Amino acid sequence: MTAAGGENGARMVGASRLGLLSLLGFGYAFLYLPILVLMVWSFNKSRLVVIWGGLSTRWYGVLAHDPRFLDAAWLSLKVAATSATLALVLGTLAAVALVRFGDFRGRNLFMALIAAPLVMPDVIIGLALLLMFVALGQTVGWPSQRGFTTLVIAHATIAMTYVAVVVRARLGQMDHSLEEAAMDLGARPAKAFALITLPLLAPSLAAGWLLAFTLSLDDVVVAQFVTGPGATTLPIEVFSSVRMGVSPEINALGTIIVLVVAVGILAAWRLMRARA
Amino acid sequence: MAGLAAGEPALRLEGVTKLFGTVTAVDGVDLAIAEGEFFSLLGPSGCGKSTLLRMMAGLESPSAGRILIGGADMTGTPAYGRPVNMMFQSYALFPHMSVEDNIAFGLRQDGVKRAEIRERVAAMLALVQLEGLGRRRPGQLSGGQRQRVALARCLVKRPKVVLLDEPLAALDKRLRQRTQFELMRIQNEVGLTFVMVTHDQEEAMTLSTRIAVMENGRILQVGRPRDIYERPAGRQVADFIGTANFFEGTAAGYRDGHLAVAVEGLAAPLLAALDGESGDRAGGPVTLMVRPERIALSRTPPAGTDAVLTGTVAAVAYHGDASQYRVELAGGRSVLVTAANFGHDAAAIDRGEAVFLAIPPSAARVVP
Repeated sequence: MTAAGGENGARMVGASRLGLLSLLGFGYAFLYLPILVLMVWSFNKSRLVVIWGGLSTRWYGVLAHDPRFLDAAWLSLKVAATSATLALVLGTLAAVALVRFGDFRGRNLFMALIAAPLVMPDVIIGLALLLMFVALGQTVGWPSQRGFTTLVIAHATIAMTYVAVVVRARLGQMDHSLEEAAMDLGARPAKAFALITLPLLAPSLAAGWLLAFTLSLDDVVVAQFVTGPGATTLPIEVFSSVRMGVSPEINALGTIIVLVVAVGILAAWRLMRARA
Repeated sequence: MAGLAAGEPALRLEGVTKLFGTVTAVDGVDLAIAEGEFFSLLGPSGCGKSTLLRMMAGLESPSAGRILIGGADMTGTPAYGRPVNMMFQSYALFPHMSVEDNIAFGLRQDGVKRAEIRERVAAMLALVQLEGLGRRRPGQLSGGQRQRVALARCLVKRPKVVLLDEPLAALDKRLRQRTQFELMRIQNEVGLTFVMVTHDQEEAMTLSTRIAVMENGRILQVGRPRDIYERPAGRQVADFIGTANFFEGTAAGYRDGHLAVAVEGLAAPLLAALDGESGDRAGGPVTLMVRPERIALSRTPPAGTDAVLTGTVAAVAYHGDASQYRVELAGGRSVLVTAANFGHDAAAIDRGEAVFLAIPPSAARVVP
């Protein structure tokens, strides 16, 4: 009985392991197969997107000499870096206020306002920002046109939420008496923050910045609303050229973007784990 | 205690009060701590002792009252402007700095010259016996070593007052006992004024020149350890410091320089030391306190004039060097008795045995 039961049990464990593995495989395939397909097709020699014409890096070469994509990529990187930096400062300040300033009046409202962009649809945020920029342009004359500045403001607004969440988690774990000890030993509050809090927050600050950077690099919806003539970000450029018909060049570009984003996310994740 | 007479105390609190919302954490505390003292704030958790210490450090500001350090009013001075340094319960060592940099942090804030910093840090490492570990990070040290780094860091600036928040609480019992002597040696060597917060009465008794017993934000009694143990100012103090038996009775009169107190259920009146108190208590209600180690336990009726009680041993707790007995008296009252386990008749007394308890006249104290 026991022997038969044991054998039976082993068989069942084997079966359930097989089931779990196939489930896992299916899950990963569901998530990453499309991306893999895109990457494979980016090395297609043929001009036709769905017909395999042999292995080649031809379209990477074409992409490298296409000013449309290169300009868009350069703008996207500038917007992403600037908005991530702005979001880092604002998000960190918000996190410090939430964690360190005690139970101030309006704290719950502030918390809800910080979290709102996380759950608000991008279309709404984009539209709202557009209306605000137009209204501002008409009343105070700034921003006079939409482009780099409005893109940076829009992306910083969304990304600061994510930065605040990441930094707040780390700050909440930090022993407040570290700052108190620094002040007790003669450091003014600002100096204690710079010498003690900031270095200890550094991993989550880097993680927050990278998160903000990738969010900005990805965004199509909000950028569509808030950008203007002459300022086309890479995702918008890709989007509009796909509508004209998919060129294999896009596959090459897509592969590069996937790699850049993946490296960014991986780095952010590693940094967050490093100190935890 | 020479410092007490010589001019200004190192630290003086006048009517210090702290409110958190509607809760009174510290309630009108007056204290004067002399230079060179090792002063303890002792009390159960939540009694306000830590809040009081944080107000001394400038990490909390009092809702009312004044704080004077070395004679100067520092009530409104922030932590970074006060000549006091605090050792935090969590040690609060900076994890991203080496041991040396942790200790040097305070000196760097004051702009002390590099060569002098190096010298003073080395001296501190020697004082706390951590030579050779200066380059390590706090994370690479044991709990006891971290504790000593924290101590060195708050001593290196030679503050007017050193504040210690439960300095030994995070150590295990053996290490704690060794560290108590370490702490005494270090305080002796540096000659600074120490103020310690603790909930451990043994620790406070061992280390302190004086103790303030706190409860509910108020100071119940300030005094030397012996005074507090032997002449507690009230039942709460007697209960918190050590173990105590209480007897409530009526003062029957005076006899041989003692107060005779008739206690219901006891055949003989208990005689209490007068402690030089004058005035006539006769006829009034009196609470007496008797420490368990002052009661003699025996199988045979003791000789002499001591008040003798009879009872049955209900429980025995063996502590090695001594045992504690819970003895139930005829009237249903129970009394705690501590007796040494060596060279004593009590050594073999077991549960259920009938015993005699003798309370000598000087053992009972009147509790105000």
